[in-house]
Amino acid sequence: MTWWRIPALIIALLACAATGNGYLVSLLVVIGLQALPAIGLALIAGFTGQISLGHAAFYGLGAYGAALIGKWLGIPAWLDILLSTAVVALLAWAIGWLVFRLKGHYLAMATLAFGIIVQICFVEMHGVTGGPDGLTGIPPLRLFGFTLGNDFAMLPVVWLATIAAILGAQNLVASPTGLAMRAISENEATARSLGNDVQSTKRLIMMVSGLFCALGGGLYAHYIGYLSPGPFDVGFSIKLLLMVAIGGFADVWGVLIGVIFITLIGELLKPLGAYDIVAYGALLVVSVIYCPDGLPRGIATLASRARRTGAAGSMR
Amino acid sequence: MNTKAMLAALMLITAATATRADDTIKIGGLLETSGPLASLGQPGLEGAMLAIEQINARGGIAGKKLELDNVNTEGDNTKSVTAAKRLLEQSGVVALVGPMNSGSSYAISDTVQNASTPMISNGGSRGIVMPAQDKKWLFLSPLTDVLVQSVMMTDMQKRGARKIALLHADSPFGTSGRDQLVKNAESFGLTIVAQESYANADKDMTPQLTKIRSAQPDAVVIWATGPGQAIAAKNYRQLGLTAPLYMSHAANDFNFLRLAGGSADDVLIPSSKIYVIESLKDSDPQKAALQSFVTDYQKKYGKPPATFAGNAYDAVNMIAAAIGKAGADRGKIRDAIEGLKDFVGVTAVYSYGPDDHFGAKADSVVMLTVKDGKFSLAQ
Amino acid sequence: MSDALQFLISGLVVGSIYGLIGVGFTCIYNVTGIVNFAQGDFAMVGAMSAIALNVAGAPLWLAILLAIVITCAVAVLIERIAIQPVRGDVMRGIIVTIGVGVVLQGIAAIIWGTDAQPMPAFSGEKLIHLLGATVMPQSLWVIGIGIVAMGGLDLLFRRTYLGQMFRACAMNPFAARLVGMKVETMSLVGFVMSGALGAIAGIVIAPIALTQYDTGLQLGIKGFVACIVGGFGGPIGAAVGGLVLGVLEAFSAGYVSSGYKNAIAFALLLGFLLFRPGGLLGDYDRVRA
Repeated sequence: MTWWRIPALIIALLACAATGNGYLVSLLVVIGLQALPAIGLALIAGFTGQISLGHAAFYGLGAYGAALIGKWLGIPAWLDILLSTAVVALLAWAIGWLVFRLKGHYLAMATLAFGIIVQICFVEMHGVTGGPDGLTGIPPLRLFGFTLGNDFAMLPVVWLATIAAILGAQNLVASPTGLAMRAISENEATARSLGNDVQSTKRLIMMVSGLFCALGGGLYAHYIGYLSPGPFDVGFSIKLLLMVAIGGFADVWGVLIGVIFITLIGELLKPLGAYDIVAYGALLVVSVIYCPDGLPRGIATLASRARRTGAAGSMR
Repeated sequence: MNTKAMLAALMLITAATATRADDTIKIGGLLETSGPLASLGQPGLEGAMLAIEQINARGGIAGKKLELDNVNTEGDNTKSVTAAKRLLEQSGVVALVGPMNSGSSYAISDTVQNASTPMISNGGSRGIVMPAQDKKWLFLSPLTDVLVQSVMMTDMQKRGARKIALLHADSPFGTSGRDQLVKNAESFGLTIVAQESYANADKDMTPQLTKIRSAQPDAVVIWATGPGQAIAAKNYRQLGLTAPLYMSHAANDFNFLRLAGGSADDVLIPSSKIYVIESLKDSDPQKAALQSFVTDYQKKYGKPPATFAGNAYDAVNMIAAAIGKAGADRGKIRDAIEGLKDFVGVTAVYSYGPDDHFGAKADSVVMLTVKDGKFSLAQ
Repeated sequence: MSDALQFLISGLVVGSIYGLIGVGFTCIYNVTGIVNFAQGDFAMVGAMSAIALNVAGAPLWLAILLAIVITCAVAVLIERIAIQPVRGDVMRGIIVTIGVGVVLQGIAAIIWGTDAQPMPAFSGEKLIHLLGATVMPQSLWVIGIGIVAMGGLDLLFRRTYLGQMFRACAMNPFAARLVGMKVETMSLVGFVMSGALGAIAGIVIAPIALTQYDTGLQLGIKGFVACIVGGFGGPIGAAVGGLVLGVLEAFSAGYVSSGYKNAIAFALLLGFLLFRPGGLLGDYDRVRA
């Protein structure tokens, strides 16, 4: 039923690129870059039911890691992204090993603490990260002799990675591991009694999740060319969680809609001036309360209910 | 269904593309009117709008109206880049008034450079326009830390200080100030005996200042922005420290006086002349410009202007002057800004050059102190 | 030596702030099972309304009283609109309360602007000297009110009928309802109490820490940490947790590194969670995965 989504997505992207509108394309690049960590978070928070308030740290580590590895080793950008992603994925596994002794609010707190510590290190390790001034002069990505210096060139690369992540996430969720993930999310004790190795599943998913984040971060670093600690604070972790919530937690495509929604809504609400933040928060509360399965499904349910009411009305 | 919704949303955005009228010249603004740095961006936008209004009241530039299109960058790096692209690609602006915070200015520097559009940034960090040969399109309007610190350290020398201590915020402004101070203190015969920092959200700097107290400095510098510096000044007085307290030019702000209350008395601030107009000699080149700015601002907004309002006001006026000289062409505007000599602004007198994109000159800086909750020239 | 005493005083004051916010958390958590991430914003709303009323001409005591009432009203409104529908769901509870916090911040920015606001100290700014250290009178207010609030709340929870109903609703809402308690009413009472506590916390620290529209989130995070360190659930735990965190931060800033002081505090917190997850006073079983 869903095979058409990827071709449709690609066509939509091509259509947008064809308009030649740089602003639109830069928004799409940003959406793709944020979709990677959001999907990563959805795997652990949505499908496996383990909340994280520290995912911005993985994104940030991926970004700083790529920029620094590239600078120190003098290797091409694509290679430093891969290396950084691998390192961060291992780190995510280790963090999972530490924090998954906890659950609920305690897990939220532990991941939050991890995120804050990493962010403080970005600020304080002046010699390495440039401190609050940040790292400048990160070279753009170069592939097959082409320098991907502008948004139109970045668009296919970023979305290729995003689509790969979507496919990967979908396959993972549909696999036996995916069933274990959902079982853990529903009821951990039951999942364990059915013979699932609950802890190692959580750690594995955390690793995949960290991998997606770091990949997004590495691409971000080479896209924007400048890193400072600001974008990787608790606020971004929360924003990722919001994207996942809007998307309906356990729904890969829903999360993509969530990312698009949150990114665009910020842009579209700007004419409201000071009221944009209020409208943004209110929308968020309303959608989480009234669309527990995410905004897209919530709207679909509402629409079908309206259709049914309409049909019932006409029968009378 | 999902994809359709996405397409619809994207089309909506494309449809919102602005059209351009021929009788106006459009410049872009990237001021942060919400978010953590709104207290800088909001007065900045007000200052910029005032400049636009004054220019248009004088008949615009060569008969054309000047228009400012500001996109709120929220103090966020990624949003600043998108916003800059939106202005450069969609609104067809000929020049930019940059963000108030250094981080956002750094983040958009490549975008602006690649678009070959001149930008006067309001960030305080020198690195934004260094080296000037590479940052061809970027200029600064605020006073730089090196400039104000040179005036400050001369004052310290005058008062006979030898050992100084530093408390700074962990922000680009704070660390840039620290780096410059550490680099240049020695040439003024000063030794830094203690160096402490605090995070922006901190509510109490007593522990850091207690350590500074133990180092027994002859003078203390607090280099920070926002409410944090007011808390630090209060804590300083609470600990009974008596060494002269120097603060950065970010403290020449009415809100700082309001927040710090009595603790602000006797603080020494290297600053622009914006709050001591009455004490200026009539021969001072900036006096007339300052008077017109402060009077009109007060009339339009019903409150006295903040320093940040002056920064953006100067930026708009310099861009307007450049357009007036060279016409509404991005490249020519850039050359004209670089060629500005002795341009009288409210923050400083500016002279840019191929090697100098800071502009502001040292005689624009005076030492202020606070007496009974009011700024006055220091003796 | 006087340095250490100064660090300790600083830590106790900051710790009391964290503790007061933390106590507000426990009021809501104890009845609804929700961690209210807008708790810090309650403090902001309380402080901002008190300042605004005071500036408008109300005497300080009246401004404070009215501000507490206003914050309680806001808390009730939030409970009815946003919290009822998501009771008991950890993840959605966190997200909804974050959203509520964003709305409160936005409204505050519109009403009161984005500048920080000062508030007059309750009893002057004359310094008190104590064994070579100095103390602000307002600091004593913070510590004193902290102790009264936490002690009072602890008595309320343990010694009164209302308190027992409270705890019953938190432990097992279903059983509580079976024996005739109105869980919804209890939840409302919890929000009123936490609104009042939040407002008090915000107001009492405003002369020291200054308030602006977005101070809530940071305060909320620190208050949350205080709860965790103290063992979630009890007001005494939250108070102790807050004090421990505050003192720890002050001493790390004083003796180790001011830049890393928050990181040190959070690293210890992580260690705590991992090796003694029930907190200083809490029980262990509720948190293990």
